[in-house]
Amino acid sequence: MTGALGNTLKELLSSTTGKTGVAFFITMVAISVFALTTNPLDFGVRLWNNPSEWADNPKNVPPGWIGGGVKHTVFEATEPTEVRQTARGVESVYAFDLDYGYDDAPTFTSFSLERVSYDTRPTTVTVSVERPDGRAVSLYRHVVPAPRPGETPPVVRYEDTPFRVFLTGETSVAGEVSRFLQSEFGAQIPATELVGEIDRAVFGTPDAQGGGEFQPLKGDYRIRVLARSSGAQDSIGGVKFVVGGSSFGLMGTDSIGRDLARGLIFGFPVALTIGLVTAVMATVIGTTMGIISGYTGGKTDISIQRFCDVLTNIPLLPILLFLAFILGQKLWIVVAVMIVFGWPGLAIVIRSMVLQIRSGQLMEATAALGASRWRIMFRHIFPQMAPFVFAQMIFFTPAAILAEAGLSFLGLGDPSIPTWGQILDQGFRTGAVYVGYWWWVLPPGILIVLTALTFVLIALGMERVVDPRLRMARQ
Amino acid sequence: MSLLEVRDLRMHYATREAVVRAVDGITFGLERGQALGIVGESGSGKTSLSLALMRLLPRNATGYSGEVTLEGENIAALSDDGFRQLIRWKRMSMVFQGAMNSLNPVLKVGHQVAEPYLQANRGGKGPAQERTLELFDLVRLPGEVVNRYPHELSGGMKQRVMIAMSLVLNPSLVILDEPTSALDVSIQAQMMNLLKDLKRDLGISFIFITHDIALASDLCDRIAVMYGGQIVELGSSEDVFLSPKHPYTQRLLDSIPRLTSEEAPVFISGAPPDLTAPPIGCRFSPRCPFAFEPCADRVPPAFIVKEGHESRCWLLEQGQ
Amino acid sequence: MSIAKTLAIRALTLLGVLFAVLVMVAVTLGATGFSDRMLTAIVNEEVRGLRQGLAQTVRDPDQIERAIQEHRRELEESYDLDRPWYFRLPGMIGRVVMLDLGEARTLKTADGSSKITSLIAERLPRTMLLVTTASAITAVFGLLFGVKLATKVGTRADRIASLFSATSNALPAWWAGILLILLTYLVLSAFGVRVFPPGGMYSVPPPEGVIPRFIDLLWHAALPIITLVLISVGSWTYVVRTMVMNTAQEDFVTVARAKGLPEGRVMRHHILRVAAPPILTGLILGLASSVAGGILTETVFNWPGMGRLYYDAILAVDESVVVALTFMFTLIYITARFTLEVLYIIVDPRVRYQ
Repeated sequence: MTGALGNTLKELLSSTTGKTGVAFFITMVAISVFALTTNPLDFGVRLWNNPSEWADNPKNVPPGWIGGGVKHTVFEATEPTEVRQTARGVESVYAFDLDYGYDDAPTFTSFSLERVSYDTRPTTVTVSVERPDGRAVSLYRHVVPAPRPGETPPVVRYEDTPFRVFLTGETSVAGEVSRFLQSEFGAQIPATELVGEIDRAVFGTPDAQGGGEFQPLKGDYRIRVLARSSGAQDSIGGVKFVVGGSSFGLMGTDSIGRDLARGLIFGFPVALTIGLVTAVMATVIGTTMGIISGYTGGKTDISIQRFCDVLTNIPLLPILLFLAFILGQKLWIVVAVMIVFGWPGLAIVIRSMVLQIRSGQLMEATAALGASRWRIMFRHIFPQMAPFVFAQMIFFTPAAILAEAGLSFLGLGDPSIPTWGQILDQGFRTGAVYVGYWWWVLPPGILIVLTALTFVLIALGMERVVDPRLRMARQ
Repeated sequence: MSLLEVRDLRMHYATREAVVRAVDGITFGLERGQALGIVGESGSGKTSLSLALMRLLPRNATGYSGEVTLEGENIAALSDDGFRQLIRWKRMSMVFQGAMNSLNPVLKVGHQVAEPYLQANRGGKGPAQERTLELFDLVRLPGEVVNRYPHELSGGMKQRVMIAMSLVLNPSLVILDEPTSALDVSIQAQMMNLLKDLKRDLGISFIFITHDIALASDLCDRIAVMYGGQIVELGSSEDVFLSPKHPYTQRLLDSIPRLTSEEAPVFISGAPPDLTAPPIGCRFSPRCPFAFEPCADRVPPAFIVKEGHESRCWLLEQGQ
Repeated sequence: MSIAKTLAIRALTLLGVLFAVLVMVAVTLGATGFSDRMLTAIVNEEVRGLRQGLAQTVRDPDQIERAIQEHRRELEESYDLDRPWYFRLPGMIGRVVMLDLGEARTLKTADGSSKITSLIAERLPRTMLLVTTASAITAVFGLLFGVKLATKVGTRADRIASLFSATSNALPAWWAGILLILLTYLVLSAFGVRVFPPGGMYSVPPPEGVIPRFIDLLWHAALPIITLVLISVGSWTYVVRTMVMNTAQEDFVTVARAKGLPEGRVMRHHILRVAAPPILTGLILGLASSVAGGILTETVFNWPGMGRLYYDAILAVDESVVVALTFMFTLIYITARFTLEVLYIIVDPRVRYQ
């Protein structure tokens, strides 16, 4: 039996298709291992479907390697650049330098504070931008909430969830910027019109003729975060300032800013698990039932065959949809249903092979020698079919992966585990396909096809082992 | 003028690993109205020879060469299409081994018999039907069989259909490839009688391919013994059967179990030669009990034992 | 065994399949409490209607309440809601078998009917239009290429074709559809030409006149049909090629050649006649399963057929439609299989006399 599988492997590696398939497979396994070691197992619930995790990413932007546009920049600091003692207490300055040379404004700007602790007077934080033209614009002022009645110092705020403000959409910021434009350029632009457009004003100069248009202002910017506190015992865990880019990461982002590359990478172990678990289980059950059916004969045979007949005549997709719809969107249910509907087809083929082998003389001889039924079935019959069974298993794998992808695409995927099909589904439902967000819909599809193709190629490479007739024809 | 002259016919075919020299320099002749038996064990190239004669080359055939003269015309020189149109079934037809699979399962047998007749435009459907019925009568099949499908017929009936089919265009030569090996012994005897009658009544020439030398000597005027893709002995049935000169022929005859003899049948030890790398000299030499100095290295020529009887064995060199 | 008996056994098996699916669907609905919720929703709907009606005529709230409670009890009794779900199984299965499929909760036909049978009657022809056209095109191309390739087994063309077939095996129809939509979008944004519409069945508003409307329909059907053909023609070609190749190795084909028949006749009369039944099987089963597979393609192209209806029913959580369509898909599938058995008997004499 090891001999048969060894030969199969040798034959597999002797063909180009087989070699390509095996190489793909090894790559996928490597990526899967990487994905599982670098991500928590509850990636789906804890990270992927948690919007705050992705809040600082730009939305609906193409991959970074596409070039052009504003580069996504995240400034983070835990220690202030400068600390000044003043009469009223301590001033900590966090300064970030930004060399801005783009023709567009950032897609957004945001600011976050983490773990602020103070003794008596709440810390005050202000955010301002010094522009290359020497003007400075104050954007935002924030006072950390006062102590609650009965709360004893030190007072700690923003420990579990950071304080985050989306500057681009903040009305108070719009007011500040409106006043800035008025005083520096004499431009009359009401704050309400500036909400959402703030960055174009901050990183540009208003057109002389007005009309609310801005010319981008290139050069060196300095973002200053100033924290005033009463004494040295007060502290700030970290500040963050994000200049939203017009491209992101390896694979771009979706409509809630998720880094698609991470979702795609996590999709590898999921797809492989779905495919392999389904295929292995369906093959094991199918082979066992087929051998039992063919070797035992009689009533057992008839009932197994009738049962298989019924199951193979049921169209899989509607039933799968129905069950996922009724029983809930759980990955294991989908896998279980595919196993239940997958094995009968194989059992029918295996049975007819067993009938052929059983009538052979070797079997009669072994039976005459007094070998037990089970021994004959699994020591003598099974090894003869091993390569075929193995090929069937490989062939079944892409079917399972494609079925799950289709189901996910219809919105019946398991929400706790991100799959390529789900990413595609979200892309399709949010209309990404109609507005040309190719980075959202192409890669998951390509990965689904490549994964399925991997197994098809391996199966194709094994064709010669399994079908001796073909071996003759290729000679 | 003899009916068929074959000179140095070769057909090799390539597998992934090597070239199989299945037909490797065959030379023989056949007179009109005579039957030639080609005898040899399985793998000796008998069937490949018949396919080479019909030019039904397998897809992987390489090195097809030699001269085949049918009624004075070198048919090996014809183009493939010319060969198909002029020779196949019209002048040379064949009854294939294993009648089970030789008939198309989804066509009525009568249609399959008449098909070459219609194709050759010897007349319309009516005459074709008549001809089929006439042939069925000849091979002793009831006329209603024409409307049956192959799976409704017994093995013997199918073989008769195949024989009828081979005769439909009145060929001068019919090649019979193991026509009886798949049949029961009683049916085999009927079939042999039928063939003898056909030979006598119609004056058709046969090439009768079989592994059974006794059967061959019963029907055939001459016998060629094949071994390893070559003819090792060729002579009249009596000469080959009664005084075989090649050690292989002798072993072959000794291996037939005889009811009347006390001697146990002798089996030929060793395995048939590997035709991808046959022995350099005589191909039988590794298995031959009489092998001596020249056998392993030099190919034996055809030694004339007597008029019309030749054998390729170095033992005969001294006798000449 | 006689033909009639063979067919009868097949028919019984397939009816068994239909029955099994129905029971499975019904039991799943019952055991998960879905069926209770479905019926309760219907009862609530009717009670609400009654309450509104009564509120206009009757003044006394207690009287209304009593009447409503009475009515609710009657309704629950009539729907068997007062008994465990398995008592409803026979009735439910019986109704579905009689094609009494009930009413959809939210989905409606173009002329406003919410009867599920009318919904299906409206949608099925549209699905058939896609599926049959695509299958016909696929069959023709597959046969032409497959037969051609069978004579070239092992050549470069054959290897390329088998690779293409492998790829199309791995290519889900819905993703191919998305690709095509994306492609037409790119063409639109690059050249300003809308080659094919990304979805729907008619332009909005639809053109006047029968012929322009028909052309509009074809224009909208083109992309889904191209998708279906694209993903199935490869494997179909491969199936034909393998069938023809296997048959071409049979002894009777050598005999046919020996008989001096020209290659064309050997192919048509001897190889294809024998390879036809399995090829036919592939075609009809492909057709049957693409009706169900249309769920995805129709969703992608927003084609208002049976598949899209199924998708909409899932989105709208319209259980009765989901159940009815699951049943319909199975019915279509097994009808196709039975047709196949009958056709097989016509085409293959071996089956006829077994």
